[in-house]
Amino acid sequence: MTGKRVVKEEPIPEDWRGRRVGLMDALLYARNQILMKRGLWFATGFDTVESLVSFILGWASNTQFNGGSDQEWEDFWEWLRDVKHEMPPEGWHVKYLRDCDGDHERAALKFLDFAAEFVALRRKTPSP
Amino acid sequence: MRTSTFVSAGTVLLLGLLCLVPFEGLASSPAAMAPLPSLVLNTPPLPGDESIRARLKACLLMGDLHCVVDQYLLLKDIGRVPGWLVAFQNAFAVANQKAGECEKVAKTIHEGLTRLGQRPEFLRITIDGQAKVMGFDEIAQGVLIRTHQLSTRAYHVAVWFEGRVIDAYTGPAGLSLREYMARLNTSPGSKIVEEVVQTL
Repeated sequence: MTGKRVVKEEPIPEDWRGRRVGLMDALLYARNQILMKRGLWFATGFDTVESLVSFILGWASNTQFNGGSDQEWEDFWEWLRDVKHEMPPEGWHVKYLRDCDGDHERAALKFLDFAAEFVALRRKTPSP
Repeated sequence: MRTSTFVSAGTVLLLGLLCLVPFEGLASSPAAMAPLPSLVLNTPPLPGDESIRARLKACLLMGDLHCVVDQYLLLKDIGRVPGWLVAFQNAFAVANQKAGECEKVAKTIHEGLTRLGQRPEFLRITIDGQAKVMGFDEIAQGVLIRTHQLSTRAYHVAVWFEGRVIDAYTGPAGLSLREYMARLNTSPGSKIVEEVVQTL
């Protein structure tokens, strides 16, 4: 073996191809990394619940700075606040971490489970 | 190596062992990883027996560090394990399974193998992509336990020796490139790039 050689390529998931991948897709991806035992860090860089907050802000900023919008993400935010009442003023990450006895992975998963629940609801019966 | 040496050693079984071991000057021959009969390894060599070198290599390829150390002490007729050999053993400590340690570990393993008369190379692994994620799966009984963060800068270095990749995660026996790459992960859309180099 001489010189640089591409030895492996991680494909884009089938479900993401041919369409725009939004923040909710990225959150489901992050959730899947935890569920398959890979760890939250694989999506966000760290295993803390705060890293998920930063990941979300980074993704949303990229969308916004490029003049785009992500309606599904905005709808999720409102649903979490007004329907689930799980968006407390102190910050969801603070409350969830307390709810989960300081377990960062469980706190992150609590948020990501809401994301999965919303996506399952919304994508099954899309709003007009 | 002369045939008469082996005849005088009186261990016919060693002929079988030699078939598994590449001769000097053919260091790039692929490693044969078939387990060696315990009878071969348990037969003590006579003084000056050339088979010590062959045993040492066989132990190396199997990743049996105790055996490597024993054979080296026998070969050099010394009673004390030299510092570089202690470092070589310690390179595989669990504490070294941490992002940021790989270069130190690879250099230590490389030096150890070189001093043991081998010709190791380095394997540089980088990520071609935006997200720069690099993880290595820890698997027990076929089940993923967790994925270690191999690097925070999408750069990992291991040792490339006899067709196997060796680092703190693989242990001294190493893994074939195929096995290693099956456990090396990055995020969707990224490519893993490898390069064999002589120095770091």
